[in-house]
Amino acid sequence: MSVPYVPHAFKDGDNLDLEKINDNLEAISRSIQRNLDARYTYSHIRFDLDGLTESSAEVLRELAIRRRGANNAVEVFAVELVIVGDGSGDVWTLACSDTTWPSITLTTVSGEEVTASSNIPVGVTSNSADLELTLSCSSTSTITRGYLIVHLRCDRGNQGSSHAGYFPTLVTSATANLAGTLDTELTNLGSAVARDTANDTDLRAELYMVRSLSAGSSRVFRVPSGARRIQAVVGYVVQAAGGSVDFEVASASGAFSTVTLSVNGAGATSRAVDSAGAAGDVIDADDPTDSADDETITITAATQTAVLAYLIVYWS
Amino acid sequence: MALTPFTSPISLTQLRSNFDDKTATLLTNARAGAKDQVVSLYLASLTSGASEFSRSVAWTQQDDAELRLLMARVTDTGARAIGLALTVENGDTLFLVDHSIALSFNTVNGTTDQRTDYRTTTGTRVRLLKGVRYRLAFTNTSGGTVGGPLIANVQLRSIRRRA
Repeated sequence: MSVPYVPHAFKDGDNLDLEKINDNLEAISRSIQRNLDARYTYSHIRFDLDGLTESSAEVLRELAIRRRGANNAVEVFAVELVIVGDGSGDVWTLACSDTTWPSITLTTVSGEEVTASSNIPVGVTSNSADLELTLSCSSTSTITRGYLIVHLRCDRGNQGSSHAGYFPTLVTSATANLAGTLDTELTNLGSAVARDTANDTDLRAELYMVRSLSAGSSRVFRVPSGARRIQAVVGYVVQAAGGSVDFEVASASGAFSTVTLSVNGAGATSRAVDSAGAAGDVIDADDPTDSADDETITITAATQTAVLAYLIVYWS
Repeated sequence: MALTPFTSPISLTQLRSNFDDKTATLLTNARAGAKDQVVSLYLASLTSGASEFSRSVAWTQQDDAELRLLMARVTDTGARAIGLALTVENGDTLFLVDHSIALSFNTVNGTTDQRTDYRTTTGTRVRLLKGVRYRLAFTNTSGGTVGGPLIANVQLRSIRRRA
């Protein structure tokens, strides 16, 4: 991070040197552009694959992801597929619902960890339809241990409002109405700074999941508090119709309002999805070394066994 | 602070104030982009001698990030020696500046919570680097099975990037 500055500090009694004004206008223009250009944040989510076989239902072999909001751009920046198989020579393929993304393959080695990766990006273009990454294998194979890491890159400069910079009109000895010209320049640079302030919603995602969670039981994840802002949660459930899964993200210290989401099961081989927004409370005063300030993510299968349940939490 | 428009004559102090106000806002905005996130590992239980792949997670950093905290929280019924370590996947410790990022403790009948703070003013700052593959792994060296759950978190701080 570079520190914005202007090179000349004016004070009453000095001569108003127009070149110094121009220096300042150009410097602050560069500072604004540096801030606006710093628009991307990186994070990753992990989708566990333990126990899956080639014959597992497709929704269990599939990671779905959507934007938290229509104007919160997210792209899959890279993926890493890690699999320990029960046999050797089984070829697992990871494909994407956006078929422009080239699929990747991984050949198992019995009892050994094998990794495949891709650095081809693909956009998560909607907050109402999912991008799906689906794993498949044409031979008989069981994943003893495995996970899919999806690296995400979020763009704060694509939030539906202008993210334009400021390009100064320099003053000279021929400039008429200098005060009015400076007012205009300061107004314009102020507007660009305001755009930098307004487009402040970065996104960093985390994923918490459980497979085969029996009815009435919960899994509680616990993470240290830190400087961040909770934005939204998106919950996915594979569960028999009539069941439901409750998700809760809470702060033990009360640093942010508890976010709850209940998703009704749509069938043992169907994926249900819902989302909930958060108040956007800022957390930065909590102490991550103090367990009393921890954040908890709780997944509860309310009535039926949840075959698969996962929650994507979007933080800013 | 609102922009103070000029009237004739131009005030140099006012001009300075206007510039300073905007640079201060830009600095505040840039700092606001520095936020924390976690890489988590959850194990339902842990047997002694379990293969590394079954008690760890590995990932490749796609961006530089500052290490803030290493945390382990383990529930058990007895005194077993637990280790938690963040290492570079290929063993090249240069990417951790030759520092050992690890915790070790004995479980109790109940829950043990251990954290190492890497934010201390006088302490060594460690940065995880883009393109390097890191692994977070639990170990159980006492024999028997840790009842669990075992929760590990690495807290990282990152900033906004140009690309």
